[in-house]
Amino acid sequence: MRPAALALVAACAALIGADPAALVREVADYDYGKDPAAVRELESLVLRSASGTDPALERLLVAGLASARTLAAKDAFCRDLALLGGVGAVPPLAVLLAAPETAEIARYALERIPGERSAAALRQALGRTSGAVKIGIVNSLGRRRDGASVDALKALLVSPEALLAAAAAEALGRIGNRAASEALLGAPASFANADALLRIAEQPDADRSAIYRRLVSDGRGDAVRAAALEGLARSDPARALPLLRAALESGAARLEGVAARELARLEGVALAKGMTDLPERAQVRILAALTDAGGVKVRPVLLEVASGGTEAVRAVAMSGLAKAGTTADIPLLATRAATAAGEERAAARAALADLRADGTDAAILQLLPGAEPKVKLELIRAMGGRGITSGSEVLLSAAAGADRTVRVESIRALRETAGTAQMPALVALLVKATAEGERRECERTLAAVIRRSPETPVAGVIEAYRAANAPAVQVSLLNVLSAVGNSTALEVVRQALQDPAADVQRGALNALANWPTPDPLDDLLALARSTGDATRPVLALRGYIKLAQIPSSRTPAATAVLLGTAMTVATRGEEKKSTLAALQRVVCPESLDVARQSLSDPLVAAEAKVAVETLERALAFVKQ
Amino acid sequence: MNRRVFLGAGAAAVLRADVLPGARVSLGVIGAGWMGLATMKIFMTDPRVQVAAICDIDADHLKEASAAAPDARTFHEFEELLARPEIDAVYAAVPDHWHAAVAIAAARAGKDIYGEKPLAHNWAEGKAIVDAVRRYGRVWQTGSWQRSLPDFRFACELVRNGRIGKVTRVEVGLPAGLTDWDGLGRMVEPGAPPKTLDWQRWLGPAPWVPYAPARVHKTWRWNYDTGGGSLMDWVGHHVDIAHWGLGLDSSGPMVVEGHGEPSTHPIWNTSARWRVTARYAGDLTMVIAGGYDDVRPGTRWIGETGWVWVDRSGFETSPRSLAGSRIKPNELRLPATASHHRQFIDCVLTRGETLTPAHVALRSATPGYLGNIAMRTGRTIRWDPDRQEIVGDAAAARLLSRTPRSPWSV
Repeated sequence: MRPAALALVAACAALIGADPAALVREVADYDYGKDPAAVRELESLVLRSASGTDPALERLLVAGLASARTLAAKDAFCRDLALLGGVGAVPPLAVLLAAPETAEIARYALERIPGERSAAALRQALGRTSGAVKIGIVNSLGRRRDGASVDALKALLVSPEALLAAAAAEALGRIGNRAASEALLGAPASFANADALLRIAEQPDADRSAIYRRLVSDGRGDAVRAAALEGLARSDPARALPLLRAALESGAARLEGVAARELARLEGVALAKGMTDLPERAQVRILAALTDAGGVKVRPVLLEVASGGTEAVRAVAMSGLAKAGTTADIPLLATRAATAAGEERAAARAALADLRADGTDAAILQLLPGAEPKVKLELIRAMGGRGITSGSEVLLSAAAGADRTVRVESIRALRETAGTAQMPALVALLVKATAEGERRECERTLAAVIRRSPETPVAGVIEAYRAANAPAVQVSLLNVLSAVGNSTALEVVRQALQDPAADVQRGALNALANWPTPDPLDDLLALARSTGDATRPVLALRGYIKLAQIPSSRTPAATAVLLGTAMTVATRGEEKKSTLAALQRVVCPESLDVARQSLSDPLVAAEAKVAVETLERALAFVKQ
Repeated sequence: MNRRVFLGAGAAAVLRADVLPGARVSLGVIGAGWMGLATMKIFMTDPRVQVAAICDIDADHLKEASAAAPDARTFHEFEELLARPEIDAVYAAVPDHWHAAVAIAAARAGKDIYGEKPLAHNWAEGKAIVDAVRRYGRVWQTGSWQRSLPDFRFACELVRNGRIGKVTRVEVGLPAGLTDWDGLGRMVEPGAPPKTLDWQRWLGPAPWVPYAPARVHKTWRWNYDTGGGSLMDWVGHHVDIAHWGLGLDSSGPMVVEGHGEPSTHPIWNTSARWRVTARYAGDLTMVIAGGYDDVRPGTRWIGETGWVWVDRSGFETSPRSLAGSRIKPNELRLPATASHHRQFIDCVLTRGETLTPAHVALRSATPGYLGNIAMRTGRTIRWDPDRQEIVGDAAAARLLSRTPRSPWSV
């Protein structure tokens, strides 16, 4: 090797701190099970060779291959030559290709070395090899798209070895030129030939129509026929139409699906003519395909079948109206949502929520006053689903009405529509609510509205809490503050812990235990350590364990300390088990320490063992 | 608007109205190990699904799976399963190096496919899956199931609808390390495989190496012959979500840089700690890191007016009020699904498009493929996202594919 070239390789190697010649010598002695450091270092040198054509390094690798003492060493050099090899590597690789035990590793490199010499080496080996080696070479010639090998591959199409014949077909499909196409069309029909022809048909200059027609009639299975039918519909629609019509009633699910989709694209809503004479499955497919392809033009068809047909067909019609319908269809959708059953009802509800037609929101609001009670409920539900903010005042009126079902549905809809302007009225609704379920709905709606507002306005809720006398109302308002979870709310809940009413105290504790941030951790820990009431420390500790697991910027080690504290405070098995379960999700050595300390605790020894094993496994990654 | 968005748009859009009542799907399970068995049981909770066949080349796995689905036929090789005409769809939970061979054979056999992430062992094999699925009109769902969880969808909807303004940076935190789940990491000496494992078949398209326990179940992820490290193991989750939130399902990065700390384990050669930076059009930078404290686990989009973070453990926004905002019908709404697995079955029955079709999975995995190439070559990789090819670095481009062991061809 020339000194200058060696200097270049040495410079590359210096970047990763290696002497390339020494590395090559080490790799030549490598065997499986030995330290692979040199193999990896040499590979890294090859990978980092910026140009990918480094003759000096290539010569070193070739020399290394010649001196390799084991199969593992030869494999390592071949892998490197697959990344960096050029024409200089071809002769020694061609020698290895001829030997069964090294043919594979040589082929990996030869396939990837660009140029005619490596291709010729592969072609020349074709006639001298057999079995898996030969199949591999066929595969490589195909992957290289080697046009010069078409004749040789054509001869293999009729090989009695099925795997070899299939490999030849696939290789010809990859090569994809006219000669390859003709070879495949002239060969006996087989699945492999069909697959290869489908690939060729995707080439820009292929005679697609001829290939697809051949495969539709002689495609060896529905999968190929369906693929060919779709291809024909795209490339030669006139010839495809009668075949698509026939496929629609073929009874073969794959062909029917393609036929419905392509006919919908080609014929539009005309496809629906006479549709009701077809089986339900075909009708459903046609309607779905028309909705996808036809847009608003399909609306009359959908309305027609919406009044007849099976439940499945009507359900598809309802779904289709979400895309193709107009505001005139809202009464139909709302009525079906109120009166139909099963999938049709669900589809109608979804369509009301999704209807894209201009003016839908206004039309729903207009229909609401005069609607039948059941239909009214569906319209209110749709107002929520659509987030019609302009309807919030209407919903507030309905939420204060006499009908309980309407009230609850309106409160739910307000969760999606109301803003801060509606907050006083929502607070009033909560205070007035007499049924627990209704009050709960008000809680959720209030919390959602406050969270949605950038200012998180809790003043009205706090004011109402201070003015309230009934503990149930006070607790409900504390729940709202808990769901909001800001610092102002936290102060009020802390004060509520000192309330003379036991129910309010308990409500405040629950509010803290369900807080959405870890802020009340210290409060809960203090309560968990308190004495007196037997249940209070337990509830507080459960809340503490829960809040310690909320994602935060704290390190895993810090979380492990929190959970370790919980272990020391806990006296019952239930809380200790919860803590150990939580520790397993906080992967750090500190968690493992806490879990190990519990191994001798008779209440949780089994759970601690599981936690220790889990954490040990999780932590057992290779340290760099 | 395509069918996927239309049908999935509404609050009640978990419904697929064009699924015929009483419709059934006969499912074949290919690979019944760790993920395979667990996910097979999820599929079995869908009354429309009958697990009709299971195959595995580990007899222990096959026995355990067969006990869970006693009516299913069992096979050693997947070709036998694919030849059964009664099988409509397959769930493939095989190691990465087998993804393409199994998936392409399934597509050719006319089966719909639920395949695990990442899409394939390398980019070229992923592209081959995309082509085969398209060629045969198959339904494909990738196991990037976070797209079916409400928090992830909502986070993406907030970002897609401009709630945090123009997004300039995305941080994706992935698990680091080379986890030794079953304590086999020290068993690196070559030896005879157990009689229950067909080692040659397990290797399949990967280069031949002698059996060692550390190479096989679960930890195959940590060797480049069979996996792509933690980066590729997780790219189909959090990077997939990052792309979804940015509307990048048909695009990709333009420049990728990466650094990974080399492994010293005798068999596991993927990096245990790494950092990849991908630059996209529009001055967008994505940082994907494993083992760096400054990048929080999960996905965080940072925009000009705020940020959104989501992970399996939670969902946060800045300003906080963003979490309470709602997506209106006239805004961009992403498909809502009740379950990733059920949505696949819906699409098998309706021929609709899934949440994570193969071509999307390839785009989601591409930053990972390029990141590993950048790490290994130490070079900045330039990528043309339209032509999907590496620009100006033929040596790096060789790493987009590899030669499968004979007789496999993908």
